[in-house]
Amino acid sequence: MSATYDGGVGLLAVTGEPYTAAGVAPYRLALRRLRHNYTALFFGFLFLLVVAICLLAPEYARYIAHTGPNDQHITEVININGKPVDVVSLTGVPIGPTWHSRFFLGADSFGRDLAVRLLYGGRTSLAIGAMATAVTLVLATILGLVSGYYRGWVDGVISRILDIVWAYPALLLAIAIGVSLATGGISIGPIVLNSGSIFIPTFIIGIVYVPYVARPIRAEVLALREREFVEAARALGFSNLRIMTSEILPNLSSTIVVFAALQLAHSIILEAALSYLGAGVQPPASSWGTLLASGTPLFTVAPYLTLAPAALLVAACLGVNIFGDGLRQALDPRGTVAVTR
Amino acid sequence: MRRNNRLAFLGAVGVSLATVVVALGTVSAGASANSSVSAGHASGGYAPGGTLQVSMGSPPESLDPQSGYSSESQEADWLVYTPLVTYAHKSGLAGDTLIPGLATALPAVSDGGTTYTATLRKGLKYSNGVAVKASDFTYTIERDLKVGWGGDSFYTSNIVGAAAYQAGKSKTISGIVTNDATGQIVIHLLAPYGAFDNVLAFPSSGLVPTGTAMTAQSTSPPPGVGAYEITSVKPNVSFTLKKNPLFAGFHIPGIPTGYVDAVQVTIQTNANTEAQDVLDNTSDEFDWGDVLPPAYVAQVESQAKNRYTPETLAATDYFWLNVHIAPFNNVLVREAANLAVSRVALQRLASGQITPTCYYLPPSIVGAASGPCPLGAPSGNGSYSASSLGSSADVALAQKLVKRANLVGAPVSVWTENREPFQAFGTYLNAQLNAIGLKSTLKVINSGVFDPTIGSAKVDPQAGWGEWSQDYPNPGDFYLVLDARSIEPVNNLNLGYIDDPHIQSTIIRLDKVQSSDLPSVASQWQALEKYVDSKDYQINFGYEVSPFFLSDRVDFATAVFQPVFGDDWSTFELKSS
Amino acid sequence: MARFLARRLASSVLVLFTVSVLTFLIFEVIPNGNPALRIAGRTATAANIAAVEKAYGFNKPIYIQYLRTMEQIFTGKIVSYAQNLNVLSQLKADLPVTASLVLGAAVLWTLFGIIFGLVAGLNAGGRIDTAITVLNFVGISAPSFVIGYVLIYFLSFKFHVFPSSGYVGLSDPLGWADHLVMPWFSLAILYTGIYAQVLRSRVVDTLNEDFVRTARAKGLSRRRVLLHHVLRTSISPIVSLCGLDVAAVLGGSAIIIEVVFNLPGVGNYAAQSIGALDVPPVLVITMFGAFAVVIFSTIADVIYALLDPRIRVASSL
Repeated sequence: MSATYDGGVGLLAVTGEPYTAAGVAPYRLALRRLRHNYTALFFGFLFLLVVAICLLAPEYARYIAHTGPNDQHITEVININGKPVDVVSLTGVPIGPTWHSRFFLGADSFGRDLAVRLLYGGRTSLAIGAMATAVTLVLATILGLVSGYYRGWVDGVISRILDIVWAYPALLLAIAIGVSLATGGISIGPIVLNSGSIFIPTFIIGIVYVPYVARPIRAEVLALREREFVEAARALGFSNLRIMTSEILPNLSSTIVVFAALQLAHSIILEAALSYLGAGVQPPASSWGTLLASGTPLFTVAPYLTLAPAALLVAACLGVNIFGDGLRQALDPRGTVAVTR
Repeated sequence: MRRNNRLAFLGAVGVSLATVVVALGTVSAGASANSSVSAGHASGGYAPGGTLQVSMGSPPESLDPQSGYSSESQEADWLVYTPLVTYAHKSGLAGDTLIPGLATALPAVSDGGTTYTATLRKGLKYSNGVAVKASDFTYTIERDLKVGWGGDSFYTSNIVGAAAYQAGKSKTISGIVTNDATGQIVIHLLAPYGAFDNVLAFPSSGLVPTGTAMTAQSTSPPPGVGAYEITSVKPNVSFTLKKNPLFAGFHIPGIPTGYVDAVQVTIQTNANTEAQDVLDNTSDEFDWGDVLPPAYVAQVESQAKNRYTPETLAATDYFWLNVHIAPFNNVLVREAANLAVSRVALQRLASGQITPTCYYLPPSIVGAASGPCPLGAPSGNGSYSASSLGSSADVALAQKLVKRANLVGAPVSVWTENREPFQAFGTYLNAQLNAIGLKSTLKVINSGVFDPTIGSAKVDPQAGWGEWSQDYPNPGDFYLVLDARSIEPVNNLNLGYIDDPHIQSTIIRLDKVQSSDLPSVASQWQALEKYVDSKDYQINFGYEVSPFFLSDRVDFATAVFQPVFGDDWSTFELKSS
Repeated sequence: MARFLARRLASSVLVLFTVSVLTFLIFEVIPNGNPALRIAGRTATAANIAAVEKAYGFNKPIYIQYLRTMEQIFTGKIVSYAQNLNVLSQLKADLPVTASLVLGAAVLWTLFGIIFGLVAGLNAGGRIDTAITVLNFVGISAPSFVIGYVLIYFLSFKFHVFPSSGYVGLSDPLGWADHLVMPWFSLAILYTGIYAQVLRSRVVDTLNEDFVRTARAKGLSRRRVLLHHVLRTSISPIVSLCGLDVAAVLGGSAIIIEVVFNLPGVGNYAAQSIGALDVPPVLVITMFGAFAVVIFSTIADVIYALLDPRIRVASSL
């Protein structure tokens, strides 16, 4: 997962576009390229659609399903086409999709409406994904920037820390921390997190991916600091901090934007894996991962309990992945920042 | 007769003769098959020999009898290490009866119940040929204490000098006196303990030779006296039992010598695969300690009707309520919680594998109560049947009770472990407590640390899921949970912190009664049950149901599901191939 | 190069030490995780528990416990808390399973990644390219355990093509492969997608390079150009990636797949041990995983640096 960077981000693209000196901002050009990438646009729209319906979860619960995500209906009997049916059978098998407003996608073993839980769970998963991505990007940018700019022993120390975090088997680290925090939560100084807080998986996922993003950023910074405009800024007497933030950081923006999209997908998937192993979101709260975890034991008699959250998860990640790839192509058509995973 | 008729006549005679010969042959074959099989076996088609293939869902933590505590290890160990006293190899209540094992008879009790005297049978040998001595019993109990068997407090709190030995203050247990020449074993107790015979029947009391190492020998267990011996152990993967050829020669009445030549146990942690294997007859037994996966219940009930029985175990699932802190120190809130829990809903969450109840003692235990449950007697709300509790009317009543107690919005933490269906039980209680007006949060703890976590006085948990499965078939064992003397700062068993003088005096009085005399005090235990129920001390919701599920290779009619140890391999006979 | 390797060795030792300390501390922090409680048994009194603590040394300060555990690991005498088993011998028994799983999947994903990447790259911009690209991304976007369950449902439960779980040793090669086909594909689909995408973009870039145009102009067949020029330059990142990905899988996806398919491998052992809060196996496996990552990333960096001197500047560590 190393990134390659050959030191020349220019607008002289392989596509043969002429270099227009008269300021067409790089983002304008990128937008133009993106607008013509119909595949990327379609999948970006797909992702937004998933986000939109998840945000509408409370409305769906109140007006269509008439039940909340944690309301149990274990012994309830409902009418389907005039016939009374147990929501949960005597041997614990829940009802399948009714394609009606109540229990549209069926119920889980507690008699809870699957569609409602799916949408509420989506909110949790997407929220964790977005926040974890933010954590990763902020930490990785700072670490990559500092280590690439200062080099020397600062770089050495930061690189070692990144090595350690990277070498630690990610899933084991996450499960171990998740398990230990699930019992009692954690309180460090002013930060107090209850054991059920979603900030715990957020931080775990965010930290696990920092080395993965920080290394390419560091590589870019190493090259950028040799450029003329940085030399000029130094000659002008700018402080190091100012050079980092006003000269180098803007040039990293396209890389960061691309990573944002990709990390969102990674974070959503890692959250699903963690919750599946019991180290992420704690019940009775739902996320796509916990839905998968509770659905898989009943897979042979109630496959929809697993397939529905899986489908939504894949749709969201697919959407953001392909859109992210389209973004990368638009911002960097020569493929110079080859994010290889 | 005319020629045609003569032929026809001869033909008819010939056919009749042939039929008679065939019939005789069948009868004699059946008779010879019968004679080579132990008494009680009527039909043909099954014969001794063969290898039984058993699946276990979790590996025994140790097959060393003085170390293993789980149902998996005891299922194997009780056939390999016969103690002085053991249980009858029978299904149902008959299996709760104690019979002499390596002792000639049940111990004679004297000195007001504090002295037990037994005599070792003559001529006994371990599976390695070494002779059994009376002093081996002392060594076995000492080994229990040194290796640190999980239930060693049954020895240290009853036998004189046992606690001192375990603490390293003496070289031997002073309360056990043996005579190798006569084979006599005398045990002195600190106080009368009616269930001590049951303690002598634990597999951990199964004799091993003096000199066996004082550390757990999990991968190569010591020799014992039993129908089978353990021949190979691959930890977490498999282990094998082979028939012990010496055992049949001892002629111990009541202990079967076994039909199959070997038992091959394989660990199969995926319950779905386990169920499928037994359905397909590639495995002979589904681990009775496992729960039939919900995806397979309907299939097994229809496809394998003739080789599957759900057995109600002597194990109760309940929710404990900490009665010495808020909000459950208020009896109205306890009653409200009891009313709001629908036992039928919990049964569905367990895929039908619990029997709904509101009483604590399981039906197979002497002293179990029956009839409508007097829940909420203090508030005068009458009595309930387990199958009707939790209706919307009950929940509405529960909400009123919480309001009357002025505890709406009181914070509660519900503790449960992560394995299913126990996690589902905790989730359900959490939702119901919220429904009646309390503010409840769920804490799901990993099963590996669940007991130490909730058993810690520092944590002082308010409510949660609990389960008690019999150590031996005696109500006194179950009432350890409600006994104030069980309250400990670590590993607390009395999670409700129940300290009721009436319960204490009754338990102390009834614990002195010998196991064989239990039926005479059954009505007193029943009265205690109703008393505990009326105080809403804990929310009992179900007796566990275990699958007795075998392949069609095994003769299901004669196979025994022992109430204490589960599938009894020494009674399983395979189809002759 | 020697200096580079020496530096790498020093940092590897540091990494392993830190990883071990971190793991140890994480489990120390767990409330009520006192292993003495579990070892002492269900009916243990405070006195029993104190006796166990003394016997195992749990009452000593934490750094002494750490040193003691490290000593046990390096002398091979490390025993788990839950089961009285030597951890290293358990690992030795479990390793072939995990190795079969990961290496088999690696072969599959490299093979299919190259094939799909080539086909897509050669048809760049066309319909085949778009179709393969979307397929690749579906592979990247689906969690491996979900793919696993879907495969089990269709190929095992409904149509009985493969067994749903378990592992059969190499002594029965057909059974061994039979049990591993679905796990292999579950793991491989993700990386096939990634590799195919990487190779595709490299192929597209290389095809536009001058030397390829020259070769074609010279009259070389398309196939020869493909194999000798395009493929050679495009493969180099794949090779180094493969090593790193094997290491990453060992510490990540392999664990979940082993749990889903009930394969008695190192990952399953780790998941069970964490669940039981059994520190010794987790410690050993974590160090083993970290060691694998360090080794593979060193090898990958060496190969990469040898193949492409430009890179040495940018990504040397």
